[in-house]
Order: sequence, then structure tokens, then C-alpha cells
Amino acid sequence: MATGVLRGAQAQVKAAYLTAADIAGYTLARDELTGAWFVSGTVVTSDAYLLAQTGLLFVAPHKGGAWRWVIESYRVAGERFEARLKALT
Amino acid sequence: MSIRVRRPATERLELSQGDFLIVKQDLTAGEYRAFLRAATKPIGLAAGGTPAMELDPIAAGEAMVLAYLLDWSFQDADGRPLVIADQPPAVVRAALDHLDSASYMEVQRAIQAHQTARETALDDEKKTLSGGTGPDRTLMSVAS
Repeated sequence: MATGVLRGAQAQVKAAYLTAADIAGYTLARDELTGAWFVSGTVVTSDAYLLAQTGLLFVAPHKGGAWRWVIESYRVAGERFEARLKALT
Repeated sequence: MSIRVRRPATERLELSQGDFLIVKQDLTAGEYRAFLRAATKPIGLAAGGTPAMELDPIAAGEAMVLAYLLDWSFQDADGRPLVIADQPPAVVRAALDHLDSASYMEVQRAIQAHQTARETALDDEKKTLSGGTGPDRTLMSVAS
């Protein structure tokens, strides 16, 4: 069961500082049983090379900075992006 | 064979008054093309019908700054951090536009100097790497 839902207009998948994908209309949710965070959204632009790299981050900018999560796993199906996230960095 | 993709790396450039910039060490080919697109404007056809481009010095300076700049230590008029890290390009551009002109030029000069230094370093690196005396594959295969 998902709790702690957070929605945002735009975010990015990053490989270091390089943008692997621009994500629009994302939704972050936390599974209350496992504590795991999940995110889904729409892929606006993507870079296949960078998406194949390890150590990807999900970066959601906010007014005073940005939240950054390590991406544990992800999948892209058409324009749909879904990822399981590790700790907030 | 050689590695032609660099891992993303950053450098810290020191500025006056204890400030600093965090910049990309090098641009990727895609970033370099985007920089060139932003720095030039088409001016019609040259002799022979080939498309001609002209460097726009004002746009080129801003394009170079936007291509390299990742973060900085700058604060706004109220002393709050002027956040640009991980922000959309429009936010970074707006922050640059609101710097005082001397500060903007200091940023641009620092990044220009960084770019020049990296070009020299990469040239030196190529000379070092191409000077190897390892076995030549073609000759080895001919010999065997």
C-alpha cells in the first residue's frame, strides 16, 4: 500500500551531472510495508547511452535545491518511466 | 583501440571574494554541438551555395557558460544561496541574467580560461597516448 505520495511537474534521471532522461508529471510513493520508494512519470527526452549506465539518480528540483534518490532499478515502457528508488542522497 | 567516452568529471574554479564555480571538466560531443548551435547563427548561403554560419560573440559567451556551469557559491541580495544546481536551464539562465555585470564577466572569463586549459591538456594527452611503442596488430598478423 502506497503512502507519502509526492507529485511534481518535472524531474530528471541523471548519470553524474549528465541528463539521461527528462521526466514530466512524476509521482513518488512510499510502500508502507517495505519502506521502498517508487516513482513513475512520463519520459519527455531520453538518452539511451546514459540510461544504460550504472549509478543513475532521480533528481527532483525544488525551489531551494533538489531531492536526489539513487535509482535501484527502472523500466521504460513507451513514454512511461517507473523506478524503484534507494535512499535519498 | 582506445576509450573515447569520458566519465563525467567536474572541476572547481576559484573566483574573487572566496567564491567558486563547479563546472564540467569537458563537454560531450552532444553538449559541444548544442554549444555551437547556441553560439552561431545562420547568415544565408556562402559562395557555392553552402550554408554560412556566423559566430555571435554575445550568444557564444552565454552558451559557453551555460554549457559548462553546474553550481556556484553565489548568494542573492538577501544572502540566501542562489540555487542553480540541478535546476532547469531557464532557472540557470535567469540567475545569470540577474548577476551584476562584473560578476557575470568574471564567471565567463573563468570558464573561458578553463576551456582553454582543457584544450591544451587534451592535446598533451593525445600526444602522450599516440607516442606508444606497443606492437602493431597488422604487422603481428602478417608475421604469424
